[in-house]
Amino acid sequence: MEQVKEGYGILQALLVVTATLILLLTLWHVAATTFEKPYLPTPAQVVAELHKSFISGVLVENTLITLRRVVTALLLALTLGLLSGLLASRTIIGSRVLRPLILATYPIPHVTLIPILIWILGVEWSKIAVISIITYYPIAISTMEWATRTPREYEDLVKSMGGSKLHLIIYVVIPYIIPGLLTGLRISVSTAYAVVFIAESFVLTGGLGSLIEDSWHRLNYPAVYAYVITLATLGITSYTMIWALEKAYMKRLT
Amino acid sequence: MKLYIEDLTFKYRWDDIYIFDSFNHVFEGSWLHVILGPNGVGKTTLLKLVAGVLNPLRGSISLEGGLLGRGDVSYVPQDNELLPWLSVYANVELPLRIAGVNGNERRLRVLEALKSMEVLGYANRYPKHLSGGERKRVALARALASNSKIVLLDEPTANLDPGSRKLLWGYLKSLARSRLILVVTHNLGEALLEGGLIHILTGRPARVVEVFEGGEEAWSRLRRVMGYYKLS
Repeated sequence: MEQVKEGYGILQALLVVTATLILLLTLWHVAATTFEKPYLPTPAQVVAELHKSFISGVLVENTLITLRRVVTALLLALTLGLLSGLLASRTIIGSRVLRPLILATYPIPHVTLIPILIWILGVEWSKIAVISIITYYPIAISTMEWATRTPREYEDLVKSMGGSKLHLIIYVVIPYIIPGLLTGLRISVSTAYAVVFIAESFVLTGGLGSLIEDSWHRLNYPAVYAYVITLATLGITSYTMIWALEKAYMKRLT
Repeated sequence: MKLYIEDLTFKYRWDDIYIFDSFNHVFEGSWLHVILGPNGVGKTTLLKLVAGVLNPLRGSISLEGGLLGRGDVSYVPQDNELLPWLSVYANVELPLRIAGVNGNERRLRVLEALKSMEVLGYANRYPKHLSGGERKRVALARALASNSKIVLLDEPTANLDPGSRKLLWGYLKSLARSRLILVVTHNLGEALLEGGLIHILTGRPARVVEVFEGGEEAWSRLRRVMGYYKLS
């Protein structure tokens, strides 16, 4: 069956993105040269700063530090979110205790835990922990919501084969919730890069957030822009990758 | 082979009407059994009870010689008969995995079953790339691979084109030579023509009111039965 394509094809999308980028850079350049403010360097100055930082190895080293923190935190959040989401939706105790607990603690501004987490976990793991805590919620909640509405017919099928509760989880619940899990992860990823900045600029122990904070204090305007752009690129890339994964999975099923 | 249903009592939790109340019936022999009855009488419920998907309030369902065990029954629901996230091969393999059959034997049995249902070429496809008739055949291959003694099918020919219907009944008849096949349908014409043994299920709570052989002569029999029990 031929499906109607929504939106653009990949080539068209690339074209639109490139055109928009060129337009924005041009506007930026014009604004920078017109106003001549120190806090608005030209794109060329920022690119030069990026290049300098890349050559010296600072950019790569700190990007890797940030990436390692984000990835570790997301893996933790994914594991815990999936497990607790399943428990909260598929067991009676879980739905009575865990589910209300997850929903009730969700609106807490978890970033404010950073100072306390530093005391408990130390500088490095407090950063990972705060990202984990914040990204845990979208993952746990979407797992919870999707796992409560798995289609009855599929469960019946596995039950009729004599499948156990574990078989149901492996062959029906997890495959069914994967799109929801990926959506949760996609939302989490964009938050993760925001939180990593806050965490890294709280106590400066490397990472792009530290570089931004440090350059800001030293009034190195182009450097601030360079590292913000790097962090933004990481965010966009991760988001797009997960989105592509979601699309690919859905394409196989429907 | 005999499938005994004894003292079966069932109602849905949300309903106070008993669908089955001390229901007794025997499905006997490797035959193509067809259960005919009006909508909502409990045909699908009966299949689900035999499949072990629903639990009766009381009563037992047993094979000659003992209770039904894992893998004895293979259930083919009306829609969503295959898991959409598993390939055809993995779908057929699933009951064997659940039963803990070892890898080599599993592979042999799956391939053989796919071959005999003539769906071997689709082994790596996903259910959405199959036609309705092909999906039913894969579900039958799954029953074959797991060596089920009983195969339950809920409205297997609904939503199929006439050619695929004919083909599917052919497969069901050949399967029925060595198994007990239980088909639920409300398609009178097909049931009478293709069915081996017709069981008329009606009433609330439901009862089997008539059992007779299918074929051309079944029509006059049915006409009489329908008038008598006010079936539509």
